Amino acid sequence: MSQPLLATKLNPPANPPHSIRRNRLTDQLDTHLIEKDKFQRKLSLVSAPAGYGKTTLIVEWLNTIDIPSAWLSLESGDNDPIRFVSYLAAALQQIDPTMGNAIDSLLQSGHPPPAEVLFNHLIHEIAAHPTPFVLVLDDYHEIANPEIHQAVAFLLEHQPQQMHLVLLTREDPSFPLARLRSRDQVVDIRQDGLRFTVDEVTQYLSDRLQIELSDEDIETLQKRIEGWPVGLQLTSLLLQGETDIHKLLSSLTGSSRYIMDYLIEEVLEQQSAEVERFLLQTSILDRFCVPLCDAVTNGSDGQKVLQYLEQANLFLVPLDHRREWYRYHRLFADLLRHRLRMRDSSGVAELYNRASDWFESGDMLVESIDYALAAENWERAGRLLLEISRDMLTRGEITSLQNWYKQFPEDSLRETPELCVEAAWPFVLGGQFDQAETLVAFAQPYIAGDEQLKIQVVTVQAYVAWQRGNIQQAIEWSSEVLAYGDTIDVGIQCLLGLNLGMAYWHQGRMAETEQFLQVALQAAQQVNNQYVLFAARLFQARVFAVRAELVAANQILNELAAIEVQMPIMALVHQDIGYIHYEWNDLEKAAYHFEVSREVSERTGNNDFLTAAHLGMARLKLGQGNIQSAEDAARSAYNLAQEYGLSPQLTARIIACLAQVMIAQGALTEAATWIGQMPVPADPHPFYRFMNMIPGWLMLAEGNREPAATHFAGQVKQAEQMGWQYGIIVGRIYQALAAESIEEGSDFLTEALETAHSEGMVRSFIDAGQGFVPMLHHVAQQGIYPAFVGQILTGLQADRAVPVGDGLLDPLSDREIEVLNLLVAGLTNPEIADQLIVSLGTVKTHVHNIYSKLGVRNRAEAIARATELNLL
Amino acid sequence: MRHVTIRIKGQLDADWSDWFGGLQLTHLNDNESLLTGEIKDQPELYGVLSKVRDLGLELVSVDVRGHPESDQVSTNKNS
Repeated sequence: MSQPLLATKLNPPANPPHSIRRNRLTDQLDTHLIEKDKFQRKLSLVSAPAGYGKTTLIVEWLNTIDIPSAWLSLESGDNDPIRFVSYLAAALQQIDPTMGNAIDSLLQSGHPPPAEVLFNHLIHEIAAHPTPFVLVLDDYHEIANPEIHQAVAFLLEHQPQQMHLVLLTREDPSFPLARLRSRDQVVDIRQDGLRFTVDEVTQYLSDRLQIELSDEDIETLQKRIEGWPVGLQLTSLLLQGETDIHKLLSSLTGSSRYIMDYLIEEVLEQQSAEVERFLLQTSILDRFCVPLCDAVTNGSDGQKVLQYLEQANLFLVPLDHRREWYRYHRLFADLLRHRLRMRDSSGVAELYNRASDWFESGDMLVESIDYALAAENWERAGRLLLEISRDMLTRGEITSLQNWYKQFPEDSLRETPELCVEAAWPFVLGGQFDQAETLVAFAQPYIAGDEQLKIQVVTVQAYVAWQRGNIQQAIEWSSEVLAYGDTIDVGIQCLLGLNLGMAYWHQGRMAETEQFLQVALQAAQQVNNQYVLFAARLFQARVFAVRAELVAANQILNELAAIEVQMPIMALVHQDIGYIHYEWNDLEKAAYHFEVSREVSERTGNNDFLTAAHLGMARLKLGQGNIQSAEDAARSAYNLAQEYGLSPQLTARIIACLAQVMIAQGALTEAATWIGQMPVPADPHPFYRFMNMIPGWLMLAEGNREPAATHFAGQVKQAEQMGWQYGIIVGRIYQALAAESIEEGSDFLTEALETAHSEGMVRSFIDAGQGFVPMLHHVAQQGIYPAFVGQILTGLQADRAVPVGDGLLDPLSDREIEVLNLLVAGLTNPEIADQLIVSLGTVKTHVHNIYSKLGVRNRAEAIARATELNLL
Repeated sequence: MRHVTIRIKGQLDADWSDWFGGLQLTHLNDNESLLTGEIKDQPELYGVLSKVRDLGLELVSVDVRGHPESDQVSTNKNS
């Protein structure tokens, strides 16, 4: 909704002057409502058909209790979760201006998180509000979106005792209330309770009319209208102008017509021709003010007629304190609209067009589009949509846009290629790629000879390919568009430059990454796109990291971390800082940043980043020797991938991480099975993910030194061609480990040390394990970076209980000797568990302890070391 | 296409037919009306029912008869 109209949703509609007090109902609402500033019940549910006085009752009740309240009147357009939650925040701000602030800043971040995340924020803020308040959601039956129902159910479940929710609806909400009812948390006010009793009819008529009706008349009337408040209201209007009351009543009760048809016809008959015409024509408006009425009726007496309608109690509901905006009682409006169509069905579209015109001239485009669509004026609606679409996309109002575009007939879309391309975006961003592609296909026939259109079409295609994980195709299409250079829109340059930069980074192509990040940065500066600026800087840092320039990367990342923004991508910043500190063997800082990364991902609901944070945590736990926690973290990541179907690249990294954990546990068969399941080659580590170290590590653990050496050599060769310095260092370390002799190994090791020492990269050496110690001593003795090697050796000593001499610092227990013997016999971990009748977890712990006490990293080394120490 | 019969209380004038997407209105003797006609799917049916609701009409019964085979197909698709 356009900003000026927001207030009309947030004010409780004013009650008509003669509404009667319905104490029997307000008493029901009041009983045990609140004690010691805490509500005793969570919900008041007022559920009844149209015209039963639901709103009137609650407005009346709120006036009698001394508790602040927030009001939100819902409409069918509020089925967009983002829109719903921002209105809810606006409603709550009527009570406390600080509530919902976090949501406002998230919505302005340019990449709004899922609505679910926003709801969670809001519920936290509600929970923090110290004093009691009532929240009213009127016309809740207008909500059909299950996502919103879920959110309201969640709110109900978690709402603190300072809040009481009131739902007014024509149908019961779809969430289950049985549990709340059984705990006495709900007051139900329903249709039968809201019917006017004979006493209430008597009181109502005597308040309004100067005439007395006999008890018999009143009873007949009450029966005929079945206590329907709106029926009584209409009847009283008729009675006001009627001299022969009995005649009126008998013709009313004598007719079996739908009572509203009968009453509205009679009421309209009492009006002058001008008023009747005014009522019918303005019935198309959801809300109106004097100038709007004048525009729609093509007249100038709006002011006068509205005054008359208000005095005459003709179902006019004021929507603000200044009495500027009004609406009709909704049932009354429906009845009027029906009569309008009966009278002049061909003229209705013209009325909608006039309304659309008026809203456009007032710059209230949302309403203008609604009325243009109601007029089936596709040309007009399309033109307006092109104006507003981008802004709404940025705010995340995807559902609203989709609902609008879905109303266009296919024929009309096929004639307007620009609109089709624009219409594709909310479907692209909402993950409905098939619909997006259908829309783009409508534009396809027009692209020959229309360069701008072609660019737009290919941009959408590139984006869809990127989202579908089809990176190669995304790169092709994006490059095709960017080749047009300066002739393309800066906004598109910005978007595509970033996507292309990121796509190349994920492929490990650093030179291209840099080139397109530069395009993105320049364009983003021009259009001041903060999101693209941020993301492009982040990926520049990642290029540094891949090239093993950790100090430079860390500097950029820390600058980004210091910016106060609520963006999901902040999770990646902390993840990367975590990995850099891990490499520097500052495990405490690494743990902190991985934790922040996890927290941000959860808060912003980004599963990709959450998965990555789990992988970071797994790496850290492995480094700390806490193998069970590492496995838990890797499994958390795996479960996310299973649940949300993440991209093959990310899935491969998760599986690689699980394999890594299995190798550390000595569960080599499982590790091999996992490796077999990787959809593409990958490493869990973000800065050499394009390499595929894991199969080599498995070979090493299996004691297959030579194939491992070949594997690592191949990986290093690729890394050298691509300029992955970090990967080269790690590759060389494992080449050293897999080398035939200590001399050959020392050459590889020296090469790794040469690039690693200036960046303080010790952890990759430490993680290679205790088997590395003799070789490190060897190079240090030759005077190769002795200080740096000393650091690595210190790290290795601190890392594990190092065996001293030919005995063990910490001897193996009897049970561990037993497990060791079974290991040597070639049993797998599950087989050992079966043999010893213990759980698999226990075996893993034993194996881990054995490795740790022996100072080895795999089964083969364990056997060698145990033989050496005569433990078998 | 499926045939729907919606029974409501009260006698609704025939001109409401348009409001209910063209369904035919017939008066019955016992102060009830029938809305009858073809609907294409469930969303259309629920659209009609919510219009019944919005006029505050009392719903007595809803009966939908269609082609069981085509139902079968659509159920399978959804499962």
